[in-house]
Amino acid sequence: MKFYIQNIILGLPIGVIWALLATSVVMIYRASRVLNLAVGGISMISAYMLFQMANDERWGIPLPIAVVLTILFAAAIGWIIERILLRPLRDRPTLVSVIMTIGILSLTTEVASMVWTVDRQPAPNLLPTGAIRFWGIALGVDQILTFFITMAIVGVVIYLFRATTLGVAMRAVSDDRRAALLMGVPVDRVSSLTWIIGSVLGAIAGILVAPQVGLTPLGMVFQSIPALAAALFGGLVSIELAFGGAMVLGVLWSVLPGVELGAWRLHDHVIGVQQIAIFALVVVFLVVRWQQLFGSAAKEEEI
Amino acid sequence: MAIAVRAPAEKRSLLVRVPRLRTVGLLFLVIWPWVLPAQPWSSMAVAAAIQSLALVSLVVLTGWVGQISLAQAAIMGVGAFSAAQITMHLGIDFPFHVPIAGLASAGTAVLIGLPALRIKGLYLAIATLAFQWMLEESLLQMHWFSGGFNGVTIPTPKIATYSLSNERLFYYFAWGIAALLMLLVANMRDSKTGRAWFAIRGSEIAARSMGINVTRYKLLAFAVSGFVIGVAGSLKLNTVGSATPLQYLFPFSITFLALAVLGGIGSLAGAVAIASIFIFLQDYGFPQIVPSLAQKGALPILAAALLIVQLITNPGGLAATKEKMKEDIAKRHLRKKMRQARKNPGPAASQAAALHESATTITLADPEAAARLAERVAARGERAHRLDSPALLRAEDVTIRFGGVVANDKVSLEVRRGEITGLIGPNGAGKTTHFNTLNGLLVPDEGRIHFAGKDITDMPTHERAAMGMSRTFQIMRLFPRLTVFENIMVGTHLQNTAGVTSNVFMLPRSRNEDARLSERCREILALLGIDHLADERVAGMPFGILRLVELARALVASPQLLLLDEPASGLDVSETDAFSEHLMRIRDEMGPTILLIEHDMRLVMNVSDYVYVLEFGKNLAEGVPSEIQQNPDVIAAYLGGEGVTVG
Repeated sequence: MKFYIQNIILGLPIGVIWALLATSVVMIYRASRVLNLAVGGISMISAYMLFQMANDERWGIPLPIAVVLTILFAAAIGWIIERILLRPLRDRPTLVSVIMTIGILSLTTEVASMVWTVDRQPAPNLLPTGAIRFWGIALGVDQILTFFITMAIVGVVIYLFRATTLGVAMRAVSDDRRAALLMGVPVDRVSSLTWIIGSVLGAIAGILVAPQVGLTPLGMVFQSIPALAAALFGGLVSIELAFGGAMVLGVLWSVLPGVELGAWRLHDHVIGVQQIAIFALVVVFLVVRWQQLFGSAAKEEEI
Repeated sequence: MAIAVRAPAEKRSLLVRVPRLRTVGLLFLVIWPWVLPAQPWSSMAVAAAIQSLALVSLVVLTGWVGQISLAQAAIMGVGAFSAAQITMHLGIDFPFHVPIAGLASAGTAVLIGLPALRIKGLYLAIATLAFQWMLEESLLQMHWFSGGFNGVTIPTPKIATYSLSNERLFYYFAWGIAALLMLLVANMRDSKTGRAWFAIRGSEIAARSMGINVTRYKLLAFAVSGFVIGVAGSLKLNTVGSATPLQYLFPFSITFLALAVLGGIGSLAGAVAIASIFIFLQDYGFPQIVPSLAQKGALPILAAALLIVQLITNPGGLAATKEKMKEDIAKRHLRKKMRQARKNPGPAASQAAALHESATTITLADPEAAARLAERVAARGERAHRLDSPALLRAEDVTIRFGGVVANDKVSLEVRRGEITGLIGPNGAGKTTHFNTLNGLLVPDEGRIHFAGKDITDMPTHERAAMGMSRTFQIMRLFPRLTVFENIMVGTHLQNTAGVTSNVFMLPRSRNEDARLSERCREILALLGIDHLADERVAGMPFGILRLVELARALVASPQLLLLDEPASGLDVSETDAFSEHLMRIRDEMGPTILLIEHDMRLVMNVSDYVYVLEFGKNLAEGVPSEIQQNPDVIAAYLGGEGVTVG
């Protein structure tokens, strides 16, 4: 029993990072109808930027300033992607913009591999390390802080969406871009701003998770796959559902390998059980919930 | 980037038209490896064949069927390791393990294809991404299968006693296999199978309505794509003699997709060209020119950057560039001709002028249509009752709910054989919803539907089509990148008795069926008076013509029942008259029963034998046109008042 409780708790800081990435995906999808597969790339390259600025002696930038610069860097990337790469594709089929984000993902991954190699780099730890013992369960202080920081950020984003003019504008744009335009919503600005915020969220997730999973190009990009799955659970439009989905996946990730049925340990017998579980959930969710989620066959066609 | 559903004869490539050139070309391909040193040239050519096949798998899946896959690298890996395992454990080596590897990958691809039956577009991208992730993790950990990080090694392939470590020999095998596979997939593209694929890419709903079994053809596409890339995997294993999971990681999946898009996804020649260029740069060009960058992997960066630039500037890829060059040449040619014609007027000039005219004034409007229509209406006469023939289609108390909204509330109607039945009602009355139910796109919450004496309530759309139910759509679902003729050929799916095997090998059965059905398409086009437009692209044609093209596509299936959803919306008065006249003529000459939704009262009242009226999802009235025109409820429904005549 204790094993499960411990692993459920350990799963929360994992899930919350994915929730942050998923929030970024959902926000961007809602405001610009683009599925941003490059979110992992943005988060990865930001983590590398921080590493470069903070760890390279020639640069010698104090950590807090480096963090601020990294955030600005991510914001700039978001702006550039939206303004220069995606806006010209707005009237083309959705698949084209997806392929564009795949191109961006590829570009960021390959550039990172070239500049920083595929070997693991020591990512700077922003948060105090050390462990707290609580009811016999050891928890890292950084994990606890990660959890609360991220919860707060997601809370702010949900508030932004629900209660501010910007949020209303974003929802209007996502419901009907043309109508929003006619009603005087500055559609382009909303779209730019969403990409900027979305990229910053990705960067925060990246710099928080890098010390925990290790800074490698692919390792960081793979963090975005469960996040995309979680975004899917929210139908790509609901931040709340995506958040819940990410937490569930995080807990599963942490619990599954250790599951024992008598003497039979899941991890020893099912290879890649965590990935299989996520893939299976994605498929089952999409296949079973499709009708309820997306309504009639005619509606299905538009997607 | 038209992927031609090949029109006969004239579209053949230069190589086929000039047999001598073909011979010379083949000879060159056979001889050159002996002229240039085997290293690096023959090895590069082998690598190019493998890369080409990898891209061809995406050309089929994404280019032709519109299904995205980010798991191609892992699927390729499955092929490579399967080949290695059966070589080591069963002693089946090259070339016999190649098709087995293909089948292993095909099976894996079908596994990801199963969710794709319900998922598509964006969602499929995420699902395949998760699949790649899962598969590559599994491959890394399944030591018994992949050898883990170290991978597996197989002995040098041999044919009889000849070792194939010789790159020159292997070159022939690799390209022979690649060419064969490309020929076979091209055969599929140019036949019934390919037309079904294009239909699915264009609109799954339209495809189902034409009787295409979307499930079957999608899975077939995944299997074909998997087979091709599995073969590529096994060839790669044989050239290197070993395989490790590190060769099949996620970035390779992305690079495949990027390259396939750069080649102009959908074009086999484009795939071969871009694959060859990529391999040349990777193995020779880059290391020679910028050795320091090449080691660090600058080429994938270049590919990604090019992809991004291309998406913005030239979405069609290499293939589109070639098309455009061809068009430019044709334009220059035409301009030259026009200049000549201006200099010395004569028959050539008037010919050019006529050409120009026919290209600019395509319209359905016809000054005599109104008179002909009046004749037909008069010949039919005023009817006091509907036809006394058996019911072909009967809907009984059909109820459809969307969440809390009741779109159809116990709607009943009966369409009798040989009749033209109208279904009218104000906007939002539930007409199109009812159509979608009759057609099988929606399943009713309550009520039954009978067609040709059978209860079809739970029958899938494509089976209803096979029973003789064709339809058109309110928002037309034509395939803009195909010509008029090609669009209509897609509609012959059910008439075509050739099977997939016959398509793959272009057996006489397949070719004869295509010939027979293209004859039929031309007849239908002639009947509707648009045969002169057969080889024009559909994109950019006027609405009136498009409506006829969609009607023709429904007609070539020789339907018993034709469902037309607002066929005259977007047409002007004169075009509507012409269309009405076509409808009556079609019914009289070809005999399908017709059920149409229409807002244009003139059309409905002119052509219908019987009319049903819906309002707020319920039956409001029914009767012959003259009754409907007098019905006070109908008038109130349309105008919210009384004392005005409908019609």
